[in-house]
This record gives sequence, structure tokens and C-alpha cells, in this order.
Amino acid sequence: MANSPIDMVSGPGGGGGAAAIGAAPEAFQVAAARSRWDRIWNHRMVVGFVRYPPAAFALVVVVFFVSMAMLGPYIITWDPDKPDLRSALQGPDFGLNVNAQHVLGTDSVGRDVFTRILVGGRVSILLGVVGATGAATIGVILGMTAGWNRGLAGAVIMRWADLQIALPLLLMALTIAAVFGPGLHILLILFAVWFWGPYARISEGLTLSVKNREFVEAARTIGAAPPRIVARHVFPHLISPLLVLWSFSAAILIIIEASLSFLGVGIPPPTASWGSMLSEGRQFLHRASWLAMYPGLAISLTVWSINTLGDRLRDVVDRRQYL
Amino acid sequence: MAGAVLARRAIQAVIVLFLLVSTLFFVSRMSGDPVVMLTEGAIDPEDVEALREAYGFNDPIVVQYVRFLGEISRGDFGDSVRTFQPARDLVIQRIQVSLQLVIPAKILVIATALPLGAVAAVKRGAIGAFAMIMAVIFQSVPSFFLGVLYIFLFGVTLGWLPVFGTGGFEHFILPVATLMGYPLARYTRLMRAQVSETLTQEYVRTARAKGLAETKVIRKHVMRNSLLPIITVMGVDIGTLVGSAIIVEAVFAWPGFGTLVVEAAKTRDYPVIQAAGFTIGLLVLTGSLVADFAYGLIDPRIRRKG
Repeated sequence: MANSPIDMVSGPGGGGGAAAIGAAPEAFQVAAARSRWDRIWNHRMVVGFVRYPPAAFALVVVVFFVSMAMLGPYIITWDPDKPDLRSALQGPDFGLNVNAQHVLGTDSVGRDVFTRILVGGRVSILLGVVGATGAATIGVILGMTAGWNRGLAGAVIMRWADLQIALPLLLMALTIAAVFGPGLHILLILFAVWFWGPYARISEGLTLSVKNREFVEAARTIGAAPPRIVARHVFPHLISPLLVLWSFSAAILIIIEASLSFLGVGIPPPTASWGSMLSEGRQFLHRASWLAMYPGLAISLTVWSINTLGDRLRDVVDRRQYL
Repeated sequence: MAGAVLARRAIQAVIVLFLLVSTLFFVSRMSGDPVVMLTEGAIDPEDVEALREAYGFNDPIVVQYVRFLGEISRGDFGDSVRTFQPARDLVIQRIQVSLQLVIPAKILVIATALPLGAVAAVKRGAIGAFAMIMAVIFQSVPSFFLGVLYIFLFGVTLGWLPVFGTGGFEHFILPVATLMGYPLARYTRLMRAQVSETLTQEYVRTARAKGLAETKVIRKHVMRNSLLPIITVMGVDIGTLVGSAIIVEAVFAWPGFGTLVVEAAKTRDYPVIQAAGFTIGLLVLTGSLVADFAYGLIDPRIRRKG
């Protein structure tokens, strides 16, 4: 491993040890400072995410879209939903033209494509992150309950999880859209209450495998209450697999939102969504292909980034590597 | 696989299916009276009342629910409110149109992804690198964008292939290729991971140590053991495949099951939605049962243990 004791003492330049021999306090501070930097630089999170180019790029993409999602309203100058028919279907100029107004061109009613991609990313990331977090919360609570008390309640919870996993989320979303009409809040609630199945499965399995270990027995012997045991001694074992699942499920939810908007039953117009932009752009493939390409690229790039980070996270936190 | 295990799995499947139709029933009643929503104030209140009475919406919800279960157990999902055909027949008819895409896609995926993943694991190098790059791309590009890219490339720019509707052989190429995208990536990755894992096992070392030819080691010891987990995943994945068929059919205007479901959702055609949900649930559960069964056929250990 990169953070072996030798690395931490001597540092990459190899001069750290020599400086320490001088025994002057300053020299010690230099050595200490350098080794702290080395520790950070060689920390497995940095090795995993910053020093590995694809993961670093993925991190930049995710940070870009997340910061756009949060800061968007302060940066965006164009109204993303207001039509401007005089500048309809302008091609992208990529900011090369000094008088450029529309970096990625305009759509069929003259709205700025770049602005709409940023705004669409806001909706996608909000749905992905909040939906996955809601689903994780429900799934972990139910799954740990089912793993801890294997009774009727546990069986019912796990059969219900099976049912959710059996029925594609897309079909359930179509049913919900038919009943309540499309909308952001409906989608958020649906994602949370119909996507906790995988979380429940993982939590149940891990709780089962941990609950008879010695440290749980020890906690019970000294009189800890079951909720405390579950929270303090069982839950920490679930955190890394859950984080990995969380990142993948956020990517899936982003795809599902885009799919629903593409089908016309997701985020209702005129609000921008990557899926509905792509769907509109489809009709202009022959003369304004950028309308479909850039939203599609935005989705693909985001999904690739989240999956890459999830893969990396799995490699980095996988305990087996360190045993 | 032992009969008792299969029977227990089948009973569990029936329970899950029951929960599924119940969910669909209550969700579709949650927003209130279907008659009011279907007519949307277009007809007299008196007629609405008559329709309600005719459809039995005036009965308590529990009575409606029991009646609904009775009808479903006889295979009757009611008539589509849009075309007035029985919902069950509509679903069966359209799912056959979808299977024309889904089955070739599934066969082609198995025929390409499994060898590719295996080769990528056994000999790293150019083929392995190609397989992994392909997997990363297909995993990140959602099926609707993949479909649009194919249309742009082969339909609009090159003009080689028709981009929508049904017809001759050439109409199948783009939808099937689009449908293959994500599973191709998924199974290549899975197979590569499995084979890599199997290669480190003790019995592979034993087989090599006793002087077995490498091709025989790979075929008899590595492949057989690597295929097991993949088969389970494939059984469970039927739902995902149907889900992506919904999207692909929308992209290519393919008049199959997916198009039917989207139309039903847009027009609040509850009988069709319920029949469709039931059918997908049935497909998924049958898929995982068949996978369990196949697992038992391939791995004698499981057959014996039951």
C-alpha cells in the first residue's frame, strides 16, 4: 500500500529523514509538516479519487453539476423557460464568438440550451440524491428490523421488498403518473417509497451476519438496550456497502427520471429536464441535432461519473483488501 | 431441485403476486373515483351516477376489492376504457409484439457478453480493454439516448436503416441493438468479475496441477462455475429488460407492450395498467423460479441439498 510506514516517515523526496537527524526543532516541524502532507496525499481516499484520473474527472463532473444545482439561480442569466421565437434553433457556438449569446445553441422556441441543461441537472440531481437518501433511510430501518427480529414482521418486510424489486420502478412510476398526474413531488415520494427494496435486502443480510458476533454479545452482556446495540454496534458495519449502493441507486434514479420525462410523464413542461429536452430534440435530429445530443451527453456524463465514483468507493472501502 | 423447495418458492411467488395486484388496485383507487376522472365532467351527473352503479363503484371499497380479486383469479381484468377490448387480450397481444424485440436481444446479449467477459478475464490485453471500454460506455448511456444516437447515425446521417415502426428485417436492427446496450455492459462486467474470481479458486489450481489442458480447465472448471451466479441474475433481470423495452418502443414507435403501457398511463386506462403490472410481476417471478430451477440442473450440489 502507498501509506506504508516507510512512506510516511521519509516522504516522496526521500529527504525527510535527513532533515530530522539535525535535531533542530524547526527541522522536526518541517519533517512533521511534510509527513502530514504525505499522509493526506497517500490517504486511501486521495489515492482512490484524486490520484486516479478517471475518478478525478468524475469528481469534477459531479461537483460541477451539484454546485450548478445549488448556485444556479445566482449564475444563470437567461430565463430557462421563457420562449424567444426570434432566436429559435440557433446553432451552438461554444463561446468562440465574442458576441456569443447561446453557447450550446437554442431550441425550437428559442430557449438557451446550456441554461436548460444546467436547470435540468438541478432537477435530476435533486431527485437522484434526495430520492436515494429517502429510499436508503426507509430501507435501512426496515431491513435492520427484519434482520434483528426474524418473525412475521421480518418476513412481511422482506416479501414486500421482493415485490418492489420484482416490479420495475418505471412501471410503478407510469401507474402513479396515471393516477396523480406527473410532478416533481410525486416522483420524489415514489422514489423513496418504491426503491428501498435493495437497501432492505443488504441491511437485512448484514444485520443477520453481524448480530451473532462476539462484540454484539458483549454489548448485550453489559446491558446495552437493543436499539443502542443496533445503532452503535451493527449499523457501522453497514455504512460502506450502503454508500456504494447509494451512489448506484442515485444514478439509476437519474436515468428513471430522464426516462419518464422522455416518455412525457415525468417533470411537466415547461420546466427543463434532460429527458424531455432529449425527447423534444428528437424531432429536429436532421437539422438541429445539438438539441438532442447535449442533454443526452449531460445524462451520460453524469451517470458515468456517479458509477465511476461508486466503483472507486467500493474498491477503496472494501475491507477485504486491508485484512 | 427438490420438489419441496420448488413448491415453497412457488407459494412465495403467489403471495408476492397477490400483494402486487392489491397494491395496484389500491393505488389506482387512491385518487378517487375512476368514473369522475375518466369522464372529467363531460357528461351529466345522472349518467355518472348510472355508470358508477354499473361498474360497482358505489359499493364499499372492501367489496370492490374482493370482487376485483375474484375477477382476476378468473383472468378477467376488465375492458380497456379506451378501446373497450378486454385488457388481458390487449396485454397478451402486445407482449408478443414486444417479445419479437426482447428475445433476439436477450439471445444476442448472451451470445456476445458471456464470451467477451470470459475472454476479458482469461487473457487481459486488447480484447479485455475493448470489452471494458464498451461496457463503461453502454452502462452510462441510457437506452433512450442510445436509441436516438443510433437513429442519428444510421437513420438520419447515413440513411441505411429505417428508424421507426415495424416491417421487414431491417426494422428490427436498431431497436434490438438499442435494447442490447445496457444488458451487454452488465453481463460482460459480471462475467469478467465471475471468471476472474473463479480463476483464483483452489480447484482450478488442482486441475492445472494434475496436468489438464488449459482449454479443458477453462471449459470444464472455470466456465461452469462462473455461469451459476450469472444465471440467477438473468432470471431476476427480466423485469429490467421489460422496463427498458418500454423506453425502446417509445423511441422507435414499436407497437408493443411498452407503447401500450405508456398510452394506458397517459389516458388513465386502469384495467390495462393493472393487467400489465400483473403480467410483468408474473414474468419476473417466473423468471426467478426458472433461474432457481436451472441452477439446480447445472449444480448437482444444490439438487441434493434441496
